[in-house]
Amino acid sequence: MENIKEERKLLRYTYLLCIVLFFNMYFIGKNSFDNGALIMGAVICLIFAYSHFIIRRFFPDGDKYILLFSNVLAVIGLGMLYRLNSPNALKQLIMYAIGITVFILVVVLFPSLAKFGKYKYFYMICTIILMAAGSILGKATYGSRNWISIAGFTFQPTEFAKLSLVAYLAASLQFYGKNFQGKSEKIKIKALIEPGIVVMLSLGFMVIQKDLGSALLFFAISITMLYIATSNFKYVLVGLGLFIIGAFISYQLFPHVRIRFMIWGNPWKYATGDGMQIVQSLISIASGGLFGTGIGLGFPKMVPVVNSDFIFAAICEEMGLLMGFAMLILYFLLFYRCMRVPVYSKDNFTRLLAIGYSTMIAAQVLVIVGGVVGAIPLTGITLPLVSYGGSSMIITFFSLGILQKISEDGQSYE
Amino acid sequence: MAKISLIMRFAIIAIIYIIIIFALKIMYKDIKGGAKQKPIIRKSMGLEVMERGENFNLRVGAVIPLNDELTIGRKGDNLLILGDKYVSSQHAKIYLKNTDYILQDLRSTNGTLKNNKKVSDKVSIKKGDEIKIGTSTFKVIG
Repeated sequence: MENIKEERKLLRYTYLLCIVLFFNMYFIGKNSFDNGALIMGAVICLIFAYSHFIIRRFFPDGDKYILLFSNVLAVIGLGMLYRLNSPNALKQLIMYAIGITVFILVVVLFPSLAKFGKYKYFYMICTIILMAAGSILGKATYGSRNWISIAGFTFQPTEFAKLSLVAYLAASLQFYGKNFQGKSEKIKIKALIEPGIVVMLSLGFMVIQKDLGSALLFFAISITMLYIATSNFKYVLVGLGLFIIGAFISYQLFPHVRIRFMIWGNPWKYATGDGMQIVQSLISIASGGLFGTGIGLGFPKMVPVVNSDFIFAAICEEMGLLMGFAMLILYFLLFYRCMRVPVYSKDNFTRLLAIGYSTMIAAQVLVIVGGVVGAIPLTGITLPLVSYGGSSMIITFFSLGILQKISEDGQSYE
Repeated sequence: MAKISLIMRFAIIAIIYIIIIFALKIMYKDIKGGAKQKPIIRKSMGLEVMERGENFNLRVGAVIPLNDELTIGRKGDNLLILGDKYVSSQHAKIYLKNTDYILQDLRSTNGTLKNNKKVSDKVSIKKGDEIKIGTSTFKVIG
C-alpha cells in the first residue's frame, strides 16, 4: 500500500520540477512574460501523467521506475531546449509525445517476447539493409555521411540498425550456454564466426560513413553481450585487442580520426580552429560553477551544435554542475533498473536482449558526456532522451518499452 | 525580472536531488521487502465447485479462492488436488497476469475445457466461465 503513495509523491516532485522550470522561463521571456512556456509546461505534465496512468493501471506487473526516470530526464531536456531554441523545442515535444506513444504501444501490443528469438535471419537482413542505406542514400551533415531525409524529416538509419543488431546478437547467442557445455574450444569459436562477421560488417559500414561514435557504441554493446553470453573473459580481451588494432588502422587511414585525436590531446592549442567546440564547451561548463548561472543568464549558444551533442554543456552552464551530476546519477539509476530486468527473466533471448538495450543507453551516455567534457575524443552521438533528435528519442523509448515488456514477463508466474 | 533565475536555480537543483533521494529510498525499501510485491489492483475471484465428479475431496458449492497462482493436478504438491484418473499429475495452472487471470493447460493428457471448448495453451478467464477438468466442473465467480 505504501508503495503507491510513495510513487505518487515521486510523481508529484516531477510535476513540480516541470512547473518550476517552465515558470522560470515564463518570467525571463524576451519582451515580457512568455506564455508559450506555461503552455509547454502544462502539455508536458499532461503527457507524462497520462503515460504513468496507463502503465500503472493496466500493466502494474512491470518496472515502474524506468518510465519515471526517463520522464525526469526528458523534462530537463525539453526545458533546456526551450530556452535554447523555442521552435526546436516544439518539434522535440512532438517527438517526445511520439516516443511515449511508441513506448505504450510496445508494452500493449507486443506478445511475450520470448517468441521473437526465432527470427535471427530477419534481424540480420534488417541490420545490413539499414547500415547500407546510409552509405547508398545518405547525405553528408556535420561531417558524417549517414542522414537520410524523407519528406522533410531527417533521420539516421544506423540508429535503427542498432536495435536490430542487438536483436540479432541476442538471437544468435542465446543457445550458447546450453548447447556448448562440454564441447571443445573449436566448436565454440566456430559458432561465434557468423555473429562476428555481421558485427564487423556493421562496424565497417559505420566507419565508412564516418560515424565513429556509433561504431564505438556498437562495439561496446557487442563485447558486453558476448561476455554475458559466453562468460569467457578471454573473448573480451581479444575484442579489446581487435579494437585497438582497428583504432590504430583507422587513425592511419582517415584524416578526421587524426583531427579528433589531435584536438583531444590538447584542445587549447587549437582553440580558434578545429578545437573550438571542445574549448567552448569546457569554458561553458566551468563558467556555470556548482549552481549554474541561472536559466537565461548564461551564454550556451556560444557552443556549436549545442542543441544536440553539447546540450550537456549548456545544462551544466545554466543549471550548474550539480545538475550535471544529478543527470549522471539519474542515468545510472535508469541503467540499474534496466539491468535488474534480465535478472528475473526466464529466457536467454530476452535476457540478452535486455542487456543489449540497457548497455546501448548507458554506453551512449558515457561516450557523449566523456566527449563533451574532453575526457575521451569527441564523437557525434546524442545524449539519449535529452538531446534534440527525433530518431534518438524514438529509439530510446522503443528500447525502454521492450525493457518494460521484458520486466513484465519476468514478474509473472508463467 | 530576468534575475529571478538566480533564485530559481537553487530550487531546481533542490527538487532534482529530492527526486533522486526519494527514488533511492523507495528502491531500497523494495529490495529489503522482497522481490515480488503484488500490486493493489486485484479483483477477488474464486472457483465454485459445480459438479464434483469422481473427486471425493470436493463439495458442491465450495469456493476455492484465486490468489496469485493456483496449481491444479493429481500430484500432492498442487494447491488444488484432484484425485480422479482423468486428471494428470500437473494438469493446469491459473495465475494472475497484470489485471487478468490466465488459465494455462500444462499439456495434460485429457485436456482442460473452458465453456466446453478445449484450452490449447493459455486463455484468459472471467466471471461466469465454466472450467471442466477431468470429471469436475468449476465456475469462475468474482
